[in-house]
Amino acid sequence: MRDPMRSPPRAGRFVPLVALGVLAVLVPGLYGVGVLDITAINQLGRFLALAIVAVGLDLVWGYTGILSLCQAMFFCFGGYAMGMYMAMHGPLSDKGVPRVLTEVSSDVGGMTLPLFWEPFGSFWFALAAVVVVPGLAALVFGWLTFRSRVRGVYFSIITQATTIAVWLIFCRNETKLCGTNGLNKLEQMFGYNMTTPGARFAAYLVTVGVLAGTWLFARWLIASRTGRVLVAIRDNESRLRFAGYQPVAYKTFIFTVGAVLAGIGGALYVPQNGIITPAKMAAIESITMVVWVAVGGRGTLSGAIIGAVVVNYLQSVLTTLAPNAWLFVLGSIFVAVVLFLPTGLTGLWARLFPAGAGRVPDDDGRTDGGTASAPAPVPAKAAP
Amino acid sequence: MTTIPDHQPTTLYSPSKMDLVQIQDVKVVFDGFKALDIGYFGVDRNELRVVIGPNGAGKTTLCDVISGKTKVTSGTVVFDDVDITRLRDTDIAALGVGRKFQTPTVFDSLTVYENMELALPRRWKVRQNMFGRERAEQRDAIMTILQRVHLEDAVRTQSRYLSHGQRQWLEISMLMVAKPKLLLVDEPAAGLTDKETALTAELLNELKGNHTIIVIEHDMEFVRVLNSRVTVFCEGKVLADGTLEQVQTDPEVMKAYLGRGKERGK
Amino acid sequence: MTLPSPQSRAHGARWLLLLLWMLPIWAPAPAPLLAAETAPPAASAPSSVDDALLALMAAEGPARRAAIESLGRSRDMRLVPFFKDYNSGNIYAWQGRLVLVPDLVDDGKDGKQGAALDPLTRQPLAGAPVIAKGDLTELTISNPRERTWARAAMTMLNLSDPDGDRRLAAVVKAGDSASAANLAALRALATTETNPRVRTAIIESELLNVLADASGAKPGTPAGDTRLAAVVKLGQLGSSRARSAIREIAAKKPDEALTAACDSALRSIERWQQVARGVGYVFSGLSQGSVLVLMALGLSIIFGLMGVINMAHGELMMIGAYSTYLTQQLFVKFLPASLFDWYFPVAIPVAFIIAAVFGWLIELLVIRHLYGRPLETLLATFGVSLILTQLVRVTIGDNIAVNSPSWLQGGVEVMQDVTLPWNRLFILLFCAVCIGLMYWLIERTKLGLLLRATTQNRNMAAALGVPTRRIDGYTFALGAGLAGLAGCALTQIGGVSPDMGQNYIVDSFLVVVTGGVGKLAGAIWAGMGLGCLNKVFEPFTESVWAKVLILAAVVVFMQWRPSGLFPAKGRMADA
Repeated sequence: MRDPMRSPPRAGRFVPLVALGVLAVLVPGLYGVGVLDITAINQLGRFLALAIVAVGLDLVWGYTGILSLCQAMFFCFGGYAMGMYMAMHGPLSDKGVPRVLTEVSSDVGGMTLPLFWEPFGSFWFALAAVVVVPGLAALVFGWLTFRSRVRGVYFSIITQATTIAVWLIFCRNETKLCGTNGLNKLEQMFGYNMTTPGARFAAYLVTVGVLAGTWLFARWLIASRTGRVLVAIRDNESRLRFAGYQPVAYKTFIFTVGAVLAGIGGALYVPQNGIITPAKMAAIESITMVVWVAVGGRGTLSGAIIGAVVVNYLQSVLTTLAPNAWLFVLGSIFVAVVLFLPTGLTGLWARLFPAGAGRVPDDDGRTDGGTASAPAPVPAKAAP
Repeated sequence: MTTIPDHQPTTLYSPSKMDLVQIQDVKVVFDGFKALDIGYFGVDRNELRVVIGPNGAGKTTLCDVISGKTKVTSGTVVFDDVDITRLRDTDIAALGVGRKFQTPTVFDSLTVYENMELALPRRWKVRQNMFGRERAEQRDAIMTILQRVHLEDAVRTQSRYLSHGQRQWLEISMLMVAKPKLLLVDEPAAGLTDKETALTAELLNELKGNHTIIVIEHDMEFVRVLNSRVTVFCEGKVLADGTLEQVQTDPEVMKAYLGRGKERGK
Repeated sequence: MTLPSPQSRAHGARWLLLLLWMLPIWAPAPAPLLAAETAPPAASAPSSVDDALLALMAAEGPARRAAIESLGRSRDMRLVPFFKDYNSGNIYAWQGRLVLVPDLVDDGKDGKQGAALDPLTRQPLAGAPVIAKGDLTELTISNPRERTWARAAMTMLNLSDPDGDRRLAAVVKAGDSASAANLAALRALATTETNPRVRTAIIESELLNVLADASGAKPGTPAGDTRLAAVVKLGQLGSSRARSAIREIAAKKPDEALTAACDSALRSIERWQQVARGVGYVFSGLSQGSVLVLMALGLSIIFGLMGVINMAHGELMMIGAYSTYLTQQLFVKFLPASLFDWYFPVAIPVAFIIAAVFGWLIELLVIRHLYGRPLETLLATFGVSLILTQLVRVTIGDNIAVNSPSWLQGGVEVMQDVTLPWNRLFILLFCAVCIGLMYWLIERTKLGLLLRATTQNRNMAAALGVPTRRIDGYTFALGAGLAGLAGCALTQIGGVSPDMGQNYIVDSFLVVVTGGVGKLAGAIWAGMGLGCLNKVFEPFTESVWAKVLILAAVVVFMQWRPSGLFPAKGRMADA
């Protein structure tokens, strides 16, 4: 189905397949023979859930050029929806209120279940909320802001402000979202205890599956004409308007897609992590997500995934080895990637092993092949 | 095509309901500076009109007003019998106003072919673009035009690697494939070599007769080759109108172009 | 870019109105309100303090009272601690004079001894450092009323304190503890007092005393009428101090007239308190806002010039705050305590320079290489902010305190119950001066001209020989220095911690976004507006919700003014 007009034959098109093989066959196999323990599997599963968020952000930022600093908020929307489902099946008070909720309430014993908690007893409702809440929020917010042509850094700042506002709301006890404690000790799902190795392994496999689906969807979207309109928005939005397109619709669409993916990532992350707190949507979290994409290579789907996994591994290693050093390293990554590695790890790979080597992870259905050493796409115009 | 009236310095030409573009009593004011002040300016269907004028005459502002980039302070703009004065730029483009910008503006990270593909008419909705692809005849149309501008070997090149002239042509090609009712072409020959300029003029001449085109240009040689009716703008106003020969001998125009030079010389 | 003179003029007018309105409160002369009898000073007072002290040692009963009262009228402030010692029994007679022996300790021979001090100067006596207890004659207080006399004398002394603030405190205290002696002292002071604040306080205290005196009075009796009059008067004064007393009276369910008087008095007090609170909120909002303006100004100039969002701007502010702290520590360590207050004037340029150097380095090492890539710059500078935060946390530490110099402590009571703290007043003034300097720099100097030229058309400016790169560096350093100054100012009203920048950066961005980029006037309006909104929302909601409301308001605001209050127009405006 690929159009020869559009893109040179891609080298290394089987890299994603290899990756899927590693994640879906090799890793479980190693777990089966006991080389990897369940902690490692669980950790990888969490990182892959975050990689789903990164793919969504890559669509929004890498391809469309919208620097959204509220992905962590959407992540938390999804995570909280799933967490509330789990809490409803976790330890409950006498009146059927989840313990996590009564613990932060002023009247521990007399508290009744808030109305909006009730439907979260149903898994299907929670699952729908995982998609609908971030999606709807992004749809409304995106449409309003894009319509009034809030762009560039203005948009980034506005999204950050919104995230902070929502974060403050989540931190309050009276909003019945468990305050700064968040939803913790989440264990029960479908009657299974999620801390058991079996359940964790299953969660890992589900995450791999969803990630693969996400990747396929994103790849298909990018390869469609819509994908090219998105890139055109990144290149020159006003020019696109004079060609008859309505960037507002496309931007709102991709922003919503990114938000839904972030929500799904959150929903997969929480059962594997057992806790979600408002701290997960602090300002730094959203911007760290951007760094995952930047490290991996913006504008390439594999880059987003690689970046999310690599940065998170680095973080987990460093925070145990040298807690004080992590923020130095993270800060340096921000600066270094932007200054020296604008195309990220995938770009570096492409430069080290040019297309002839046949391993360019150019999986985005687009045209960077052979030009991978080119400078990163420069936004059309600096703000006045 | 309307016949070019004999040059009348005082009454330029009268409003016509037949014109595809009708700009009536339009004023554009930026912070007290009058960028445009037009009694009437119209372009007939299938006419190629050249707009010339010194720097700051309001030529590009004219394009901005028609394409909706700039909103008028007062007056009305009618396109194809639709009042577009208050319409958004996107809607105006959807009505059939295509535009080439003063500096060639294409989508840098897309290939030449992809740029052309985006320019295909009437496929602007998100959903339309997610599913389905262009038809074979559309692809042929794109390739024909690209061959015409010698870009057939560059179909897979990202347009950021094109030369300035190639970008000009790509943008004109995008206009051609979009088939708008009106083509606004802002300085198509700027920065081109003589050879490239010749080809650009050739392209425009090919479009002439079955497209409505407004060309803004400085290069008098280029204007001569286009051999069409010329409107002269100066300080936001329509100064003269007629054939190139007519306007070149118009005393007002000579004063506008040369008079200022004389004053500077003093 | 214009300074918003209409705004400041409007504010000036409003302040003037408030002051005019307040005049009637201060205006009435503090003549004794309810009774004409003022206690004349006792005629038989000993001539000097020393004589009085000798008299005190000798006298018993009424004579001692006369001595104490004469000491109370002496205006010698050394007697305040003396009377405290007197009441706690640390004053002794010894060899025909009074001595102060604060501590008696075992002498190792079943007896006690203590070091004797001069009771007034509290310095050791010459030649008699330690005296055995046996040699001391306790100045016995035979009558508990003697203690009351001593306290009254202390009140008298405090009321005659030459320092206005301390005198005010004494007046307030005298009003809170009602007694005939206090009333007399207050009335005496009223005849001589010239400080308007103290005079207002005297009236209040006097009325409160009257109120306490007449607490059991029956309605219709002269005492009852006096009480009614006092309640009405206190209501007119809007006295917050009288609130609990009047509530107490109202709680006793008195007659109709008094109940009505109490109600209306309480209402008018409440109204006045609201006004006072409102003024206070607006004022602290303005001072908070002025810090935001300083921050936003730097951000805005940098953004206007380079199209760069500097996420590390908050950290530059933090560096300014920590520079102030380090300057303070240097003063504490290496200079005598008497010079401590000078640390702040020194810290101001230090904070500016250090923050500016950091800013210049950031520009040189990071931002310069990212020209034309605003989103990437945002990321890189965020990374810088993480590094700076962590650097300060690791090297200097988390919880540090910056003490205000003494001349910034306290405040000025501009109207009853509205005290403007000096530190906030200073910050307002400080920011106004900085903004004025910035204005002058941008509009009147060569550097400003080059800066504006580069902002408007970088390529053209470069073509004309403007060293645009160097201008970038200077501007960034300047913006960073402004942030440093903001941090320096902030030490006086808020806590200092490595992540303080994070709290302010979002607010400053909101200011920039609301005010419009590169607009001095916009930044000032938006900064002051946001600062005030924050404080005005606070009493109605909690501060967190206030913040949420403001963020929501800004997001909504952006809907109809996407490029801020003062958008750019014309052909250059990006469509």
